[in-house]
Order: sequence, then C-alpha cells, then structure tokens
Amino acid sequence: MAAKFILWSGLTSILLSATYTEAAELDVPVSVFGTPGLIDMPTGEVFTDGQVILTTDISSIAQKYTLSFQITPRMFGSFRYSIIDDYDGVGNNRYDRSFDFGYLLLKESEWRPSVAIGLRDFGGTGLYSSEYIAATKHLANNSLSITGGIGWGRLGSYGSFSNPLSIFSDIFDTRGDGPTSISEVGQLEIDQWFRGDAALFGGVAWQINDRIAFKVEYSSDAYTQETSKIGFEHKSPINAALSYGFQNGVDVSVYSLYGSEFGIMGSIALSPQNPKFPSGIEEAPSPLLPRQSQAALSWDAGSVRQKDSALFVALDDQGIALEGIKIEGSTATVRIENGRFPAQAQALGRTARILANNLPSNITTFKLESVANGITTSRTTLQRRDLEALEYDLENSWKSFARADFEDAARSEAETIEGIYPKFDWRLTPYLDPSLFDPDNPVRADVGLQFETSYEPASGLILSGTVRQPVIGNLSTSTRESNSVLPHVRTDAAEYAKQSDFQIKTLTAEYFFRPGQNLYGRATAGYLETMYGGVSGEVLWKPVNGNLAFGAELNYAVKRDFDQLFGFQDYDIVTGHASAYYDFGGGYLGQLDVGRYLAGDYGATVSFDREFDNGFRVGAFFTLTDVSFDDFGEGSFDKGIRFSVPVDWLTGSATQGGYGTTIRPVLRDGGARLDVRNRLYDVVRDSHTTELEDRWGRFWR
Amino acid sequence: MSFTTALRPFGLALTLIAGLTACSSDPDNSNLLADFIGGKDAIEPDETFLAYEAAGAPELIMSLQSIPNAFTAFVRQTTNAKGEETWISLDRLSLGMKDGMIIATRGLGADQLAADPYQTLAALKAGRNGITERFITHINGESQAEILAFRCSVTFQKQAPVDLGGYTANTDLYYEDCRNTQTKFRNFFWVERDSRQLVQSRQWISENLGYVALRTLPR
Repeated sequence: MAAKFILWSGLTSILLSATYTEAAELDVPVSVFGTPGLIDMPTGEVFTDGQVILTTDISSIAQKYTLSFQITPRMFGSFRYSIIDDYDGVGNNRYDRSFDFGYLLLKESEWRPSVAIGLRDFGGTGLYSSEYIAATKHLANNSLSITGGIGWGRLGSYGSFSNPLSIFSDIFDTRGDGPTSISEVGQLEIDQWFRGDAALFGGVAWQINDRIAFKVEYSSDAYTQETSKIGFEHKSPINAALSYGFQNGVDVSVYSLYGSEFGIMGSIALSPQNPKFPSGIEEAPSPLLPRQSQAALSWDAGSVRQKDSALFVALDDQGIALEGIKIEGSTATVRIENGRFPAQAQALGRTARILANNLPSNITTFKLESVANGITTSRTTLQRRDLEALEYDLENSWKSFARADFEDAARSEAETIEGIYPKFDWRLTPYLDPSLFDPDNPVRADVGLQFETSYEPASGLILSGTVRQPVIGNLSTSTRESNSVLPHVRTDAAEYAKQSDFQIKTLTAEYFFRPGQNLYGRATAGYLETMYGGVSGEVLWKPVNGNLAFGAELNYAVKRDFDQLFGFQDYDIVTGHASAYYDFGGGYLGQLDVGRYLAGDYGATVSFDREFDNGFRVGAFFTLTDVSFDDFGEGSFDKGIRFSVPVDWLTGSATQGGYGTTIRPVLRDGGARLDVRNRLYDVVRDSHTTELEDRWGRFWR
Repeated sequence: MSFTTALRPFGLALTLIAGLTACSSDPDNSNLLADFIGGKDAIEPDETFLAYEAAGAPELIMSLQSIPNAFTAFVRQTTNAKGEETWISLDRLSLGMKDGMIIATRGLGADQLAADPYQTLAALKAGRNGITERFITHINGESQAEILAFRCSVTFQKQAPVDLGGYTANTDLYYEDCRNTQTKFRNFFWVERDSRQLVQSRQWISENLGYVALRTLPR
C-alpha cells in the first residue's frame, strides 16, 4: 500500500500542494476513471471549464491514478496510470498508461439532456479501449441525475448486440485487433473506434444532501480480460457507490463492483482561475503624491542618471532595476528590468507611480522600456494626467490600458546609467528532479541542493552556471537498459543519474541582441543541458502588438559524458527547427516546430497549451518524424503533457518563476529536441501587449 | 502614544504564508522561511508610516473579521485633487478612502481595485434612509478587473455612543444592506451626529476576504 501512496504523491505533489491552498467545487460526479461518470460508466456531462481533477482509485482489481483537464468549455482530456497486479502472470504487474478524450455535444436544457461523446484509452495499450455516447438529465432541483448511453469496445462487452452504426457501413461490424506488440502501442487505433458490438448502460446519481451522494449503475463492461487473467468474478452488472464531499473539496467514494469486489476512490478539483490570493499579498504600491516642482524635489537632470538617485533607490526597493533614463522636454524615458513581479503590468504600474513622485511636475509623459535578459522588448507610453485621473477610478483598469501606447523598442532611447554593470547574482535552492512513469517504477526522483550563479559583464551578455549535488533519491536505481535501435540520444537518461554525483547541469555564455525591428537574437555556447553541450543560435520575429511569431534555431550539439562533468562522448549532431507560434486568444496557444531532431530524424512537433491569464498553464504536444513507429519502439512516437504553476499562484507573493513538469508516457530517441534554456519566445512575450493586457488588472496593484 | 507596539500587523502573516525556502543574492527572494522560523513577530514598522504618524496625520485602526486578532494601524499619507485619500499601514498595506468610506485596498490578498460607494456616502452624510447603488471593482483570480454592481438599502438603526478612547462620540448607527444575484453583505456605519463623520464602520471587501472593521483614533 505504501508504494501506492508514494506514486500518488509523486505524480501530483505539485498540484496537491496547490490543492491545500485552494480546492474547487466538483460540479459533476467522477468515475473511477477520473472522468465525468458514475462508477465504471461515463455520463453525458463534462467538468467545469478549466478545472484540473486528480483522482485516485484503489480496488482489488486495479489502481488508477488520473489527471483530467477541462481543456475548453466542451472538451476534456485525461491521462491515467494504472496498475493491475499479476495481470501478466503471477508477480508480473501490468503498468498501463492511457489517455481519454471527451466532448460535450449538447448542453442540457429544460427538456433536453446533455450529451457527450468520449474515447477511453485511445492511444495506449488498449487495455481500457472503449468509446461511448451518453446522455444525462438532471431532475428534482438538480439533486437527481439520470444517465443512459451506448458503448463500444469494453463498454460494449456485456449485454451486447450488433453495432447499430452498421446501417451506415459494413466497416462498423468488426473491431480492429489493437496493438499486438509493445512497439505498436501508442498509435491511434482508428480501426477500433465505434466498431464491433455495442451495449447499453445507464444509472442514477442522487445528491442526498450537501455532502452525501448515492450512485447506482448498470454496467455494460463484462470484464472479460480481468476474468481470464486475474480471476475476477463478474456476478452482477450492478455497481453502487456512496460518496462524501469534504469541506476542503476532497470527494471520497466507496463502491461495490459487479457483486464481487469493493473499492475506494478520492477526487479533488482545482480551478486554475481561482488562486487563493487573487490580488497577491505583496505590500501596497506607493500612492501618487501631489506634483512637485523641480526645486521642491531638489532635482536636476544630471543627478537622476546617478546610481544613487532617489528614483533609482525607490525603484530598486520594488525589485525593479533602473538601467537607463533620458529626460527630453516633458518626456522621461526609462529602461527597467523587472526582477520581481510575475505580471509585467504590475511592474509598469509601480514604475509609473514612482516616476510621477520623483520627477518634477513639468515632466508629463513617461516612456517605460521593458528589458528581458538584457534586451529591450517593448516600450509603454503613459501620461501623468491619466495616472492622476484614474488611480481610484472605478474603471481604472481598462481605461488606463486604453490610454497607454505599446510599441517595439528595438533601440533603447534611454541613456545607460553608469555603474550598473557588471551584475552578479547567485541562488542556493533545494531541487526535485522527478522521472515519472518508467515502466518498471512509476515514480523515481532525486532531491538535492542546487546552486545557480550568473554574471553579466554588459547588457545582454550572461555567463551562468547551475550545479547540483543530489542528496537522496532513486533515479540511479533504474535497471532498464536502452533497447533503442536509434542513436541513444535520450534513452540513456538513467545513465546520467547512475554515473554521476556532483553534476554540472548548465555552464553557458549567452548573448541576447536585437538585430532589428520586431527581431530578437540569441547565441548560446557551453554545456547547454544535462545531456548535451555545444552551440545554439536563434532568431525570432515577433511584433509587440501581434499574435503571430516565427523563429529559427540552429544548434550543434555534442553528447556529454555520463558523469555530467566536462567531458564529451563521440556523438555529435547538427539540429535545428523553424517554428511558428500563434496566440489564438482566450488563453489558447499553438506552436509548430519543423526540423531535424537529435537522432538525425526529420519531422515536426505540434504543441497546444492553455495558459490562464494568471500564468497557470496546461498543455500537450506530439512529434512525428521520419523514424518509423517500429524503430521508435514503445509508444510509437513522442508525445506528452506538461503543466506549470506560477509561484505567485500558489503563494500570493510577488515572486517570478514557477513549478512544472512534462509527463511523457515513455521517453525514447525519436523526435527528441535539444533542451536549450531561454528560447526567445518565452523570454520576450511577457512584456508584449497580449500578455500585458491579460494581467492589466495588476497595473494599479 | 505607544499603541503601535501592541499591534499585530497582518500583512506579515499573509507574507509568511508565502514563505519559500531559498537563499539568494536578491533581497526580494530572500529567506522568508528563516524569518518565520526565527520567530520574527515584530516586523519593523514602515518608515513612511512612522514619519506620518509622528507628524500627527489622522489615524485609524483596522481589523479583519475573518482572522481573530488581526489588526493594524493606518495613517493618512496623501489626499489628491479629487479628495481621494491614501492611507498606509505600518505593515505596508494601503487603503483608498473618501470620508471614511473605503474606495480601494492594496495588499489584502483579495483586494478592491476601486469602488464607487458615493450614493451611500451621500445618504449617510445627509442622515437619511435610502436605496442606493454601489459598485466595486475586484481583481479576479486571472488578474483581470471585474466590476460588481449592488443595490443597497441604507437604514438608520439607533443612536449609539462609540468610545474612541478618551472620547465618546454620539453617533447614529446605519446598516447598508447590499445584494446582487450572487452576493449579499451588510455594512455598518457609525456616523457622528454633529459632524456627520464616519467614526467607525464595518465594510465588506471581497468574497475571499470578507469584512474589515475600521475605527478612527482621536488625535
């Protein structure tokens, strides 16, 4: 049992810590699969938009750990890790990864039920492979919901009849076989979907009071494989469950299955839209003070360019570095690097008020140039009179946004303040390095100390390094040797943990520059990541006010020694990509990368993310290359999901950065990309108009 | 007047929840956890606050209804051309105020970005019951401004003496009952009878934070 809970904590430690800060209401019942449903059966509902639902289910048949995400108001996706003891013979447990997808076809109305269509396990081993269409109607003031549906695959295995879809075509008569070997796993089994025999299922959920709910269902799953492989007894198609919703948002159910087994499950939902401290808990900004004359401020245009000017100190107190300033007539232009606020809009708002309080009354226009990694990324123009008029205006947020101007700042107009370079920074932190869903052990991780340091001799030039000393962990216990027929560009990952102690994670020189209007450049050389060193160059085109960006990257990478010190192995490769980025609006981001991957394979990566305005991000990606599914091995092609949670979302404090991870069902050598830090798109976009607008509510905070 | 030492500033309590363990050259990223473990209850009061307090600026005490014993002191720092005042606390929070009515908060975790309570304020000043409209702008969880509109009923309850510490004010107690389709709340206002000043009040801030109580201090 201990192992089960370790898995749970490993899978979701980050998200769980979030749930302690703020759990959301679960609005629909959750099945043991962690998707909208009764017990084993799905319902015709979906979750509340944006919700992340974590479910753990333990019965004598299987353990299931599921992360579901309501991607859009109608669409959800789930990733599941299941363990079935002795499924592959005594002592041989089956560790299974599966993905689900569901879509709400019809919303419920007064007379009509909601209707959803779903695919279970559409890209895994096919263990739970099934499809359904279900309808759910709420009655009696929403306390009662009745579900009926039709299922295929496993959900069409009990009380089945020939497929009604056969009236459209004969192809629906027979269901495909699914993967026959591990190397076929991971492909979309389209020849199975909605094919073969079908069966009906249904059930009722009754919310007895605020806390207690009762569910009963008629299941259309015969549990054929479990019956033959682990001696499961299917005595009855009726399942029942009793659920209790705790005040902290955790929902716990006990249930009976098929007249022969019992199980327990728990679910928790969180809403990325609702952090515990929506407006943050950092100190108040300085208020706008009455205008003062030059004499009253004992101010002159020369002293303001000194490193110890009142303006410099006041900004520094806010974690904002003043890098340059120029006073011309009634306009002050400043160049600032925000080292503190996750929302650049907040840094702009605070800077504007500090400028107003520290510059004489005849200076009425403020131009704020944002700097990231030493390069200017945008210029925001604000008027003193707007600040004064809107400080406590009921509609101050959109009015101040509408009255601000945003433009590119390829060349800074501010004069550099002397003595701000070189800059030196360091940081000592603990780290957690997880490796999830290795087929032998679902959770491995190392914990240790990490030291990061950076030295900037001049604007845009950054010499930096990160070293780690693992203290405790089991990353090095992996015994699984790479069976890849491709160059081992990623499958040796375990060797890097096994054959190292003190680790140089990165040691690089980076140079950031602006080749022209809307253009950004980066050159990186050194030890780029855990497994590769080399050189990397990138150019990005991204207008400040646009939603579209293009980039190109070229790298020469050499595989590093397993000890993660200075040596290299004799594998080197030229790799690179052309990328297109598009912000669809509403928080939906798409990215397409086409090029050559680390194993020399050519192909493309498609990524899709949902980023909430507060920075909470959930996404998925897949890569198809000219490596055949066979040569790729288990999983057939590279794919995964990823999420990141901003520090300020969790804590409410004004601190940049976040926690996140990428979960791949299996890490192979095909479609593997070099992991260079500080790719330009993410460096640049925070200070561009779309992102500024997303968090503009913080301008006055 | 030495009451500041007895205060339990709650801005700090909120900050400590956010404590992350890390050492760094960046003071904004410093070792908050160490401060916490070190039992650093008494924070250093904000210098600007102390300067204004010493200069005799108007002062008030505010407490959070949702957390027992969480209270702090504010002084008025500045008043702009529109008569909107900014009050700052010793633990670096701020309030936007107009004649005792909150029009903004900063640093409370679930802040009011701005508010328009002027119809209610006018009714209280005039000493009459009435139906008013009140608007409140919050920062929501996605960092967006969100304006809520309420319909409120301002009603006289009773005459009530309020002990302000060394001075008892003769006040009229008013309720302001506000509601919209999602939310309802009740504010209290003790209005001094002669001056029509709000000397004490309970005012709703936001769903997450609840109410704060304010009491002016005689100077």
